[in-house]
Amino acid sequence: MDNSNSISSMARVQIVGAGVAGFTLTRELIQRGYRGEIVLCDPQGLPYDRPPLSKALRREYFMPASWYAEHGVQLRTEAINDPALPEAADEWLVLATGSRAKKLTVPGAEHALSLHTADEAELIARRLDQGMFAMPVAIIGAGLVGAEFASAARQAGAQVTLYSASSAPLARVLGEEMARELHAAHRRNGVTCVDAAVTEVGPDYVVAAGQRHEAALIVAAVGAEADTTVAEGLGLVVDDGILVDDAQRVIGQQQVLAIGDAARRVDHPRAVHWEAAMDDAAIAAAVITGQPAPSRKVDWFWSDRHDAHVEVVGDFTRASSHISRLGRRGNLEAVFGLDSAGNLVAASMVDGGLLSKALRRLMDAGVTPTAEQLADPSVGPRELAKAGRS
Amino acid sequence: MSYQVGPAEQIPEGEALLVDSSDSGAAEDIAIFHAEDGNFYALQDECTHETASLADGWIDGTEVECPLHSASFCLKTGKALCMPATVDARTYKVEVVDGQLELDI
Ligand SMILES: Cc1cc2nc3c(=O)[nH]c(=O)nc-3n(C[C@H](O)[C@H](O)[C@H](O)COP(=O)(O)OP(=O)(O)OC[C@H]3O[C@@H](n4cnc5c(N)ncnc54)[C@H](O)[C@@H]3O)c2cc1C
Repeated sequence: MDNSNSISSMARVQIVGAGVAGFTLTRELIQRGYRGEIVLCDPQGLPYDRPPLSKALRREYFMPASWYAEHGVQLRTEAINDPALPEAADEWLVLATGSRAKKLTVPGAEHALSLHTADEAELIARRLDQGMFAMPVAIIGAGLVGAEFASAARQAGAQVTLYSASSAPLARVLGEEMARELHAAHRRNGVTCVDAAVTEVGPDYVVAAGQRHEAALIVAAVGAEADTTVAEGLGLVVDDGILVDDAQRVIGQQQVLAIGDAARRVDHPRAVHWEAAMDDAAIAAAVITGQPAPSRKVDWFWSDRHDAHVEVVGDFTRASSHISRLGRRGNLEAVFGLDSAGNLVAASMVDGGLLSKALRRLMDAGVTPTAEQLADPSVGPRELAKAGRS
Repeated sequence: MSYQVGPAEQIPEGEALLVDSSDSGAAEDIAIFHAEDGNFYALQDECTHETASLADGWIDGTEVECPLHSASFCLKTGKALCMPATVDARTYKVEVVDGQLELDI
């Protein structure tokens, strides 16, 4: 990096949090030729990706340590709790503090592990490894992380019981029918499902619907919440996330940005997925380097469990009616959500291949295929996308 | 060494063909894309992120998007254009000679 240039020597971006948002911002700044100093801080050390944690119980680094050194990035293994607010026009503070696991609040909750960080995933992997064959594992919560871990624990040979307060967990995320179908798929894959809330946890048991169930390993996966501690300390505006505008600027701040799971755009639900975090980061990099911001894509995320690759495009909370697509064997391939005006606003699918890509393009273009086309499994992704072109 | 893939017209624009290494004798499976600029391009078939076949990907202009996690690659240069891919894909030379595809392996 060129430090002899006195004009740019002051320029600096401090990034608090090195999840996919903080890491992607670093990468984007480098790609965009940013000449200032980049300081990336996270107490969890070398940045890693979260999705593999619940699928493979494994820590996967984004890049080796040498990559940061090569690009002159100062990677610091430390928590920044009270960062200074930038004073100069070329100094930036970016809050990318992400989310943390929600705490289980029943008696004995301290006996349950959580699965949100790489250290936790590795601890759980070790416990599964050391456990006896068919070790009883209790998973509290059948959301995305709970469902994926149920699948991973089954694969590791454990005897898995999944506790869920609902028989269609994630209905607001996947659409009711898909949620029900995917939850039912756990049973077909050898997972015991107890559709009742856990009311008590002990060192080697959980209690649900008044029944005590033995468990050698207990994992709570009851959701995540924005980590806004640093922002609150700075007196920034927080309301289910650090409130930002479309350019990721924290409301009322010129040089402070917030990205990823910790941030929420005014008048939008908080996006809590991997790709949304990267979109935020790309926009922040454009703002910092004074380049035109890339456009934001329609929401998309995936989840993998029991050999099913699940994808969701758009937002089911905006849908008021659903259309389902059944495959030739009567299996549920996809559920589409339409808003009250009949526009396609959401879709969830299993092993959809290119379907998700076609749907994103349709939703980006604001085009809705006919109900017949959506329901008909013989209308392939490319044909569906063409509905938007004609 | 060049491998005769067959007629170019077997790959409509916007689609791709997987050339199995056991057929071509190449070191790896290769995907040949008929891009939306009308040209043919070839890349290593396996996504550089995880196990997925780029021949099953979505072709948009002169880019291909991986079917699994939406990493995208430039068909001309193999460059990884977005996350999760951070490693570029290997490119191969492919030519149309008298309507036949010739892949340089
Ligand atoms: C187990 C699991 C599986 C997932 N699977 C999928 C999936 O399959 N598909 C999908 O789309 N999404 C998935 N997600 C969601 C996705 O990973 C998140 O949306 C994404 O990680 C958000 O990125 P982020 O950088 O905003 O926050 P995070 O990844 O939460 O990173 C925030 C970082 O900030 C650091 N930090 C916090 N406070 C401070 C401080 N004071 N100083 C310094 N650093 C600080 C933390 O240590 C943390 O490393 C999954 C999430 C989890 C937990």
